[in-house]
Amino acid sequence: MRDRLDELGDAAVALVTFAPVRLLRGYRGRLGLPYPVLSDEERVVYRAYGLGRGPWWRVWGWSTVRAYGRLLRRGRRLRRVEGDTLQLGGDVVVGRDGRLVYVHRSTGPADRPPVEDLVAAVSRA
Amino acid sequence: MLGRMPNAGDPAPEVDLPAADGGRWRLSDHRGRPVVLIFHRHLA
Repeated sequence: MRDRLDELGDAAVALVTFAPVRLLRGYRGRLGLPYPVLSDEERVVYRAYGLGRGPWWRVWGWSTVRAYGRLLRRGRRLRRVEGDTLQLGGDVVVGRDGRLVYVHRSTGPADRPPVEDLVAAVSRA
Repeated sequence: MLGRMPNAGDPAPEVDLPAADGGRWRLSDHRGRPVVLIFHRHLA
């Protein structure tokens, strides 16, 4: 996503986590994120968008093992995970009129939409 | 507990959260432009 921000036109982008605010400064700087990082520690917004927790067997199943295997083969170092590993993520595009244009609720860790889908949704927004 | 999940065409639920820069970020402040929200699973 970071590499394709220029394709999003005037769209605002924000990353939502449930990490406490006190942990976010280091995180944003470490990753060099150009957009805001928000703290939803109580997961009120996660729930409002229908993002719940997944079953352990789906979150830690073979698709996750394969995804981490691909990262390791590319030379990525895995870090200690912080927080609730069963919380599922998602990607949302909100239109200019405040209505949802696109909603992707991940069913597992490896389930994220192609960036092309988000770019296309923004163009429709 | 999850209520009815909003889908495409529905009004986007408000987002009013503290930001890493110490300020506060609200979805309603960005009305009139598209907004992309990326919900992380966890910090890793």
